[in-house]
Amino acid sequence: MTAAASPALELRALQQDMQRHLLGEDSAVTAAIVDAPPLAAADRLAIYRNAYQVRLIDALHDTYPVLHGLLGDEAWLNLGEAYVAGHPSVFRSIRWYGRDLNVFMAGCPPYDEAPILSEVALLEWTLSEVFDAKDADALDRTALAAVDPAQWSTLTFAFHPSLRRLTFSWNTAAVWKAMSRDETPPRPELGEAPVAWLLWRQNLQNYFRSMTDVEAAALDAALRGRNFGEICEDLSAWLPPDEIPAAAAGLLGTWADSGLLVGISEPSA
Amino acid sequence: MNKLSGFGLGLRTPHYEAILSEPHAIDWLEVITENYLSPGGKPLHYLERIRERFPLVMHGVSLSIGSTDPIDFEYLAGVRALAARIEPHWISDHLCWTGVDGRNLHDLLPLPYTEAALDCVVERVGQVQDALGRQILLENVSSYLSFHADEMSEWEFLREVAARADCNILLDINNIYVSSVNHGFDPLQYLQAMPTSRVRQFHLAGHSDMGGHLIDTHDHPIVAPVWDLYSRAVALFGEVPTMIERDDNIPELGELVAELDMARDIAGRHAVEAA
Repeated sequence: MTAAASPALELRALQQDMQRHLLGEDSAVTAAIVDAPPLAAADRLAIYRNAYQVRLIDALHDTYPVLHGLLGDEAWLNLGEAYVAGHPSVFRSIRWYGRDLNVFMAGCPPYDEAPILSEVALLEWTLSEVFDAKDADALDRTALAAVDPAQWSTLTFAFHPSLRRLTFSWNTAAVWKAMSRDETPPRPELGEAPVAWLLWRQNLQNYFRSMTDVEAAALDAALRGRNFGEICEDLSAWLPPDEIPAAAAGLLGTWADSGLLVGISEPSA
Repeated sequence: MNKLSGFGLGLRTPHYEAILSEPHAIDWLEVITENYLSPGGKPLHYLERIRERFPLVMHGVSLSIGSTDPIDFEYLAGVRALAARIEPHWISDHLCWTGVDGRNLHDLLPLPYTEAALDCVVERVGQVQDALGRQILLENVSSYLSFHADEMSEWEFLREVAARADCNILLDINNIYVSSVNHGFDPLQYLQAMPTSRVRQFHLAGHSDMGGHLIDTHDHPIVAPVWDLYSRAVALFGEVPTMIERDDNIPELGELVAELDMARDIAGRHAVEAA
């Protein structure tokens, strides 16, 4: 701050200096703070600095309760402090804070030594996205039954905005489920092959389940905008040709029953 | 601005079902704006159901009216869209800043009470009110520090902001008390400096006593000195819509309703005295 600075710039400099202090960076703001009973200037600033860290770690807990339980309080606090130190919030709502925790854990010792932890973090973050994703009216099976059979091969499908696709290499979902029920979780176990998972919301309730390779291939194709005929072609790697149309139609029915299907479109002329 | 009266609570997630299903004497509810800026799901579902039965006001925590960053008009568009959907009686936020350089410290940080800060805030309140298409209420925050640069008291600053920007005031009685202890001023002087016509809402809450200083934690019942100050506020400003904020250690709804009845009793006594 120089003597020539305008009052508005001085205000900005003061705010930047105070923010640096609260973020634990170099700052000279203490000299700008009144030092008077009942508290010294440094102690007054410390109230804000501590509150900043506590508040963000509390926000992480709200999104990641199972991860907190798996780590235990001490390790959780260490993780929170490390994450907060490197991730100042840029969000209007604190609900969005912590989005990159799984990426952080996957690349940071000691958390990267237990890769299931970042998978649990990814699951919990994704569940939080499912929870308040956009609403949409779901179609039921009758909407499928109403389609002219001649049109089937060119149909494309739209899905509920809450739908998320994940792939887990570990027994992440089993650990999450046990922890959510206050049961002892199974030991972390690497599966023989990665497993596809489907997460969504139906009637305000979050759900998730694993998928077979066939279902995952069909869903991923449908999500990419492939039409029914193309989805069937994609399934030829897994199923004999004569079984494919019935299997694909069966999957569509299952998705409709789960409230996942929100649109069926015929190609525009 | 429509007429709102009586005694309200801050709407909190654990109370959704009780608010809707139990009989209770709650006249209106205040909702945290940011909690309902999410795209869909349970929060908005409950909000839609609750607004059918209760008058609402919106209370934001991230307007950052005192920041020197550019105003976030995208955020304001979201606030305006939510207001169009739930039709609150008014929208409030805090006289503070929450971050600069695009960062959000998620705290209600005090401003230096200077002419420069006053100019900054007044200009921004005007822009915000234009963007929202309505007057806003600004709330006094609890604070733990003040600046050597201060050129006026907090109450002078708040009064000037309201007068120059033509906005209204949400007076947090607990915050006045907390700050009066932390900075050693007379809370009555603060109250007496407020322009009666602009004080549209009172907040009440509990705080934590840390020995020499107080922290505005919203996790305890309201304490006697705050009730006393509330009584003085009602005497000065009349029966202004009053609500209780509880953000942590949230009790059963009935406990907060009982606390609200205490506010109702205090306000009622003044009404009798005034008659």
